[in-house]
Amino acid sequence: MKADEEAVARAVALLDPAPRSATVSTVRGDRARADLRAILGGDREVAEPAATRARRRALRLAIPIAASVLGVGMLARALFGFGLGEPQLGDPVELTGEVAAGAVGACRDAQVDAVGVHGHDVPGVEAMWAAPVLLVEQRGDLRLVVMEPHEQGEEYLAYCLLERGGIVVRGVGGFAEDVWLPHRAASTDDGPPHTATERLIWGQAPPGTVAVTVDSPEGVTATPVWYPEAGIYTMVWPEGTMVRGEVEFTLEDGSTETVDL
Amino acid sequence: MDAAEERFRRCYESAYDDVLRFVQRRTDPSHAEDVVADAFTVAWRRVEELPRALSAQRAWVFTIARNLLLNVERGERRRRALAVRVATDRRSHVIGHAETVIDTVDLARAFAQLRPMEQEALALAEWDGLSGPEAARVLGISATAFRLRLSRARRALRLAYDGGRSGLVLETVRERGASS
Repeated sequence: MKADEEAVARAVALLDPAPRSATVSTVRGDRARADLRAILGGDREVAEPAATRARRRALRLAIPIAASVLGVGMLARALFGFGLGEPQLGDPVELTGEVAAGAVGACRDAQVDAVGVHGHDVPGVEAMWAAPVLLVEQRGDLRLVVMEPHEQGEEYLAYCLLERGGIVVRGVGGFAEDVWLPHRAASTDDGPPHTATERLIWGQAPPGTVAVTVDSPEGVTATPVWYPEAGIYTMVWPEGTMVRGEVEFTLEDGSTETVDL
Repeated sequence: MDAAEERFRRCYESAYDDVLRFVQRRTDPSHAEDVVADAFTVAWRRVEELPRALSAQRAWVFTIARNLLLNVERGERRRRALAVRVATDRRSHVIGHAETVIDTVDLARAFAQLRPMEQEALALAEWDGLSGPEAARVLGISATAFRLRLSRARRALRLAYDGGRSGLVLETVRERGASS
């Protein structure tokens, strides 16, 4: 670890509200032992929040009725919102109401063919916290990509950029000022790109690329992140430095190609 | 006792304290034991997914606990990261040398200026002691993305503190670390 990192680590350690030395309750404590007995003994509801219990009981009654009325497909989508099923990569999702209208409108306004929508803004998919999630719905010529931007960091942007001219829309309220356009240098941190202090550089790699490196000016550290499935690389360029240098692509046959930044 | 229960019991006994501290750092301590019990209840239901290695088990239960906390937060307001608490009253406990007293209040103020996701990255790395890949798993991001986030968080903390006190705390801490 670098000296600078050590200094930060030691400083941050001072702020730990629950340091090891201060822990009172341990696994030897009565509460912990009782919880373990309750969990293993089948009396799990002892440790289960009341809201969860009530929801499970309600669903136990509602599922057979709803299945007969709605059909299995619609029921499965409806259950996303109750946390019983976690959407997986590529699962379809139906956008409705304000979110769908906003997303489709943003696509058309920006003359692009894809849009990303923050997962939590989609009614019925509140349970999307589980893992990498990318849901896609084809709506006419538009492709709607629903994702978890704040959790996925750079990946979500790369996935969105996979679609030519794709944009990411965050939030239902404040729609207009919260649109990320890919041709701008955008930060993956919170906040719209015009307030970013670091620049996220991205680009497409030539076919057959197996690795991406960057030759940056002295004193500038920018490590490219390579997304083979998307064929896209990204890298964060440090604040206050000129974006220049060369990106080198290593191809399958061992040869290399370079492009200027 | 079957094999699954034995594995779960070992995980519970080895990880409980760490999970409790993880939760205490992120929510009201009075609720922490309830959240930990909820997390292990979920873990027991999904025991077939329990990783083999102890360190991986710990990160896995951290992930469950974090998701439980986030679900509560989302009922109030959508968040992009889970807020972490900081201690501001333990300077004598930690430092113990009058000549090198470090103003943790100023440090806490600098920490509070960081974005929640930066605070969370620092907390996972420095308080919870997770490796980069483990912390990335807890946050549901790639190890590379976490490394970038942590690097930015460290730099942001330095900048936030330097803006207030010319880097005295961090420099002092670094000097003490170098001399020890």
